[in-house]
Amino acid sequence: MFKTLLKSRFTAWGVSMFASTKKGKARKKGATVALAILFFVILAILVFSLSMMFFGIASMSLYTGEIYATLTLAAIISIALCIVGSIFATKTQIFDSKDNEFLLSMPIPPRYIFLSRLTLLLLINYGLEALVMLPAIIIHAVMVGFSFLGAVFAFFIFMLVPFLTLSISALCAWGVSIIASKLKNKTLVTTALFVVLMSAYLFACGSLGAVFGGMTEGVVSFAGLKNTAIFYWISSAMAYGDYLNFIIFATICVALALTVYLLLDHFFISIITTHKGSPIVKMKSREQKVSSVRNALLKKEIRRFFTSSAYILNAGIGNLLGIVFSVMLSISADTFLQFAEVEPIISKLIPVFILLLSMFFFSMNIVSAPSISLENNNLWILQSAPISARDVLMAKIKAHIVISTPCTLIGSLILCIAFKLEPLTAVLIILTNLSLVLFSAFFGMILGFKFPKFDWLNENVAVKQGFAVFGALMGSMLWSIILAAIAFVLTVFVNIILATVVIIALNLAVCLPIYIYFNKKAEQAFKLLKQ
Amino acid sequence: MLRIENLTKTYGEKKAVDNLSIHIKPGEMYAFIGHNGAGKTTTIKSACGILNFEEGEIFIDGISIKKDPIECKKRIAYLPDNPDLYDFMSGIKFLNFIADIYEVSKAQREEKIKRYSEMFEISNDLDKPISSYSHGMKQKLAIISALIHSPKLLIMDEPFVGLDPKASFLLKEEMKEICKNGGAIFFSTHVLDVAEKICDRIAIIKDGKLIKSGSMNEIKGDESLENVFLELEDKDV
Repeated sequence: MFKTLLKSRFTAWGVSMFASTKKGKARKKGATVALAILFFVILAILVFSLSMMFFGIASMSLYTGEIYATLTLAAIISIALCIVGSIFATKTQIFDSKDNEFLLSMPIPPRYIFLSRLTLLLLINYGLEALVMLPAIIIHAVMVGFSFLGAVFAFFIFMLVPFLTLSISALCAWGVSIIASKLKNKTLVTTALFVVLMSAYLFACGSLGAVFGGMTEGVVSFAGLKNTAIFYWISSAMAYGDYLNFIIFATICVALALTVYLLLDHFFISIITTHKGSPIVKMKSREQKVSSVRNALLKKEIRRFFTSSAYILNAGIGNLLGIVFSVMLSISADTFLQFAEVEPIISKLIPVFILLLSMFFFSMNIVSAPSISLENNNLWILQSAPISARDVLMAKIKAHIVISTPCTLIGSLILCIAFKLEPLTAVLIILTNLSLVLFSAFFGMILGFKFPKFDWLNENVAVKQGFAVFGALMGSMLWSIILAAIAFVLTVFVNIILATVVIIALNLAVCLPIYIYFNKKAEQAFKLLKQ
Repeated sequence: MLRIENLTKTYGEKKAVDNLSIHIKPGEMYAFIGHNGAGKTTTIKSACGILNFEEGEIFIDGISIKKDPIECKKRIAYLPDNPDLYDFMSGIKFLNFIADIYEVSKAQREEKIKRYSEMFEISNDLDKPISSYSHGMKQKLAIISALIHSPKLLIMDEPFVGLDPKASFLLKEEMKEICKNGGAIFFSTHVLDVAEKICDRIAIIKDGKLIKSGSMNEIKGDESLENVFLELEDKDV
């Protein structure tokens, strides 16, 4: 019975990876091969980059005698990756799984149900851990070498780490699930969790930077890594065969995993059968607000965006990254300005540099691209309503503009002030960035309209997958780089004013034909969606 | 009110609806029955301007759905068989959205929302997100949204599925009221008893072709509608 359950877990996972999501229809063979190749290329790039980093650190650690360094860093990265990479999967698999009640209605011990889910999650954790730990262990083995005890500890640590990360993920996911069930706005919790995880990740990166900070000044030292508690226990157990640190780590892992297992075992049925639904909301009598048709459609699109954490985090991530990098750049603006005083060409190119980075990050906003795919089963509402396709599509474009403009404006303003740009240049830079918002909105909309993805059951698929989303993201980023290159050439040979005017004109030139198409020819195509 | 003339709709090589003609006058309640996959939903969706069709014409209140779909849609309300509503909205926000789309005045929408939400006993649930609604509640909300702009023609696909007995009764009463006031109703159903009791006219469709249509008495005579339907189903088209 357990084997059957486990098999069904893996089949479901396989279908989600390699089949069309609606009817379990297999993808075309070519598409599957292409997907597999893409998947392995990404994995290879990741493993190669990590291996190069570990190789560099191992070389330096041999020089300093701190041979635990490579393994400590690998432990930090792999544990962070396992937790960040599996927390949402854990929440979906254990707490929000749609077939929990169906399985409970059958003569299956509840323990088997959650154990089958934990097994799949554990294997995902092993996969993520292997990506980081295996290259580090191999490089350490080749360059430094393991003692017999170190090798034995390395094997057991490799086996134990997923139990630790899965226990932490399960506890976090459980907590999020409880908090979300108490709040009216579930999106807020999920989005906040993502921001916290991302901040923790950026903080960890920053901390690693601090560890290496001394090296740029010619002082090579990894001493800071000794303060990383559990990560150092792992690495010292492997590198030196330190049995005390191994026992501490192993005890923590086993105790935590056992506690989480017993808790889940005890509460599993109540967790999944308690109707989380939504908090009690009492109807308040109030006056109803009247909006025009176009405003109603715009408000609906904006509400759609802000009520879905998946939509916010995948299609609106440019807002967050744009602001974060604007602030980070503005902090180091003085260094750039000092260079600019020495080299006049740098002074001339600072606006181009600002344009490149701000356009690149803000072009990651692709709000309009998945908006048609997201209609899916709701499409009948718009198709049967007395409204034109033009109004529907323009509402989606306007929503993109409304959602992306404030952050673009603030980010551009921060950079213009920090880099002390002349008022005219600053205004033109801001207008250029806003013209890119227009480009992204129209470009994403035409891709979303021409290549909608309706074969989804979970909206994550609509905002993460499909040609429209991929094309809009890659197309907008590539376009921003092309525009920056044009700006570079024009600024070097003429000036930034001409460069920005040309970029604005180019962005508008792309938007205009799409606007005309939506006005004149979209009606029939809109009706044919989903037919 | 609704005139479907020689409607033909194909999906690839399959003719979902084949040369179908139906005429519904103001004040009439018209049932549309047939087996699963007979072409009922395709006909209904074509009449609502959701589906394109290759041949034939559909007129709503004398206006061609092909030539002026927006004017036609202003006069009708459509209730699908499985109303997937905007889960990210609350019930009240959804009703206001629909009222905005149909340009319903503030006073009229307030009056209609109050009346129908109390009638269908969901007034206390309107501030909850639609994602928390049961199937029946979604169906009730969809019905209210269909009635909010006082349509001249109500087109419904299996409207009684998921409704509790009281809500079914109330919907039937409301349907009669619409017809009494000069409106018309065209709906598909598998509940033959309901069709028999409340409809003036009936059309039976099989494999995309209209096999019988007319007044209830013409169709069933002294027999029950169920017997007539089963006899017709057994015959080849």
